[in-house]
Amino acid sequence: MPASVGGTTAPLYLALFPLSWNPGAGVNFYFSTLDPTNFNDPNEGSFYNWKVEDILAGRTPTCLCAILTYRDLGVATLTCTLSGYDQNAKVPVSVSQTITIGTVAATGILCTTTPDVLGISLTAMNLQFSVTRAANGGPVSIVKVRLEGRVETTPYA
Amino acid sequence: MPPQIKSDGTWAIEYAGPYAGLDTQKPELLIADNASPNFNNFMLRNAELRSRPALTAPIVSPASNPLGITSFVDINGTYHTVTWANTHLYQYDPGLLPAPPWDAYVGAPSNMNINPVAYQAFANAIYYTCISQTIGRPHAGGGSGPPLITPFLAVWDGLSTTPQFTQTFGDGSTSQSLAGISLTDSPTVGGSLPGAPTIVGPMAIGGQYIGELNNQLILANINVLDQGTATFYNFPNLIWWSANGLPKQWDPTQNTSAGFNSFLDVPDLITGLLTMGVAGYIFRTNGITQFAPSGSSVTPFTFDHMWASNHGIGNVLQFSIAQYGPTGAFIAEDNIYSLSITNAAAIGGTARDAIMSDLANIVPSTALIQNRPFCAILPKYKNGYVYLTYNILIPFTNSARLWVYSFEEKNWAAWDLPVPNGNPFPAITCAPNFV
Repeated sequence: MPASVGGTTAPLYLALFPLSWNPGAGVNFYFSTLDPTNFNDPNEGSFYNWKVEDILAGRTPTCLCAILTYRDLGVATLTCTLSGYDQNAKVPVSVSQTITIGTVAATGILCTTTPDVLGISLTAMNLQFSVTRAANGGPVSIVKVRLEGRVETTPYA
Repeated sequence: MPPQIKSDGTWAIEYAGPYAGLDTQKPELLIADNASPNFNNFMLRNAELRSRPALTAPIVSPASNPLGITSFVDINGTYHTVTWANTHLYQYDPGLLPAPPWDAYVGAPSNMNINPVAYQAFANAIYYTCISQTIGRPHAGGGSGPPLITPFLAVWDGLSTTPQFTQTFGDGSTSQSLAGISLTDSPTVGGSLPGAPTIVGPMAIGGQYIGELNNQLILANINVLDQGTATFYNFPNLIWWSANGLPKQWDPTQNTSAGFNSFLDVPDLITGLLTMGVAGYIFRTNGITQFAPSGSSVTPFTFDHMWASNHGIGNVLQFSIAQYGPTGAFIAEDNIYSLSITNAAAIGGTARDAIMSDLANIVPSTALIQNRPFCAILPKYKNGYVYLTYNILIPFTNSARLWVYSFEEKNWAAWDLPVPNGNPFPAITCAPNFV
């Protein structure tokens, strides 16, 4: 039987993306991969916006804090933002807070932002929470988000 | 969960997975708690919001514009990972690292330029075909678009040092394609093609798509070169199959189980092909034709246009069809669909409008070079990390957007990738693949 010409004893077991890819150093063509052992892309940031909440229709709620539960994949910098709509001034408003999560050890265990509860606070209608991670900002894995606040519940006369 | 409001006016909301993904089809206030009106570069796998895997470039391409990537196993059990560019087939050779790890073999009768290669493993060899692609949206398929190339079918078995893309017949004539017709038979065979062209021969046949059913290779959306007159003929709604068990025999006058069928009764072009179980599906821009083995050697397949309406569900993008086992996926005018042995189901969901908007905003990088989306169903990104997804890779200027649909969690995520558009080259010229 003729011998094989080259080849390997097993498949590469890789998803290859044929792309022009070489940021900042001209254009070349590569077979790129998405590496599931590294969740810190050095060239692209990430963001996630949650649902807009009116809490109680017709009322202006206040969000007093946000609590994040996350998996420690390593040190990451995350910007948390509360945005909403100021009904009196009729303008969008927002407030942001940048936090560092995770450890160098990248333990993989679940952690929360407590006891340093995010003291992010905003009074506005149509509240929305979002997080932004800059390019090379570290690996982020959010498991749960909890928002707490107050709202006037007395019915309109 | 909805906001929990106590009688003293304090409230709380909790958001957790599993996530529904992007929802751009309802006001931001009315979407589900586990959906998002806008996000990018987060992965929704296993009910976590995780920054997407980093894009790395571990393997340099053998040349500009790789035209396909796949792997096959030869009769010795050796795996071959191959790609194509210019006039060559390249084999991955890790022994060459850190230099570009590719062994080169002349694998085509002419430069394939930027025309994607279609491939099919059959009998422990890789068969591949390439023709000129049309340019211009809506990417309806068909051949003869500039730059013209010789249409061909070739094979490499992993044992010889040269792929075979020519065939010499009994009358001494040679076709520039493994799918060829001899000089002697070309007038007869060519005369029975649509339009009854006068063909001198020999004929070189290639297809935009290739598949296999009933031990017969099948080319779809055909381009033919009459080597005698150097004339190209384009048959965008024709399929041509090899003889049963004889992938190098395409002449129906030599073997009656080889043959072709032109869909003259449909209003559109063939834009894809996949086989699933005992049946195959030929995609058109406005419909799908099911075909199945008939048991007859003279008419080996029966064809059923599932619909032949002027407008209907079909595959509108040349390279959106993807398959993994019993699951296929494609993009129609009105939605994105998955196709299984039992049914077709719309999967665009609440991200449909955003995806369709991205697809509509692709612009050509030059007048002749078309940026096109490419799709693949990938079972995993790396060994040991299963994530069965349909991936739509859409090129933009200096970036690409990868739309990721999880079959398990039924959600869509958008990932932006830093991909410089190498003008005058398009950023992407073939689909990703798991090899």
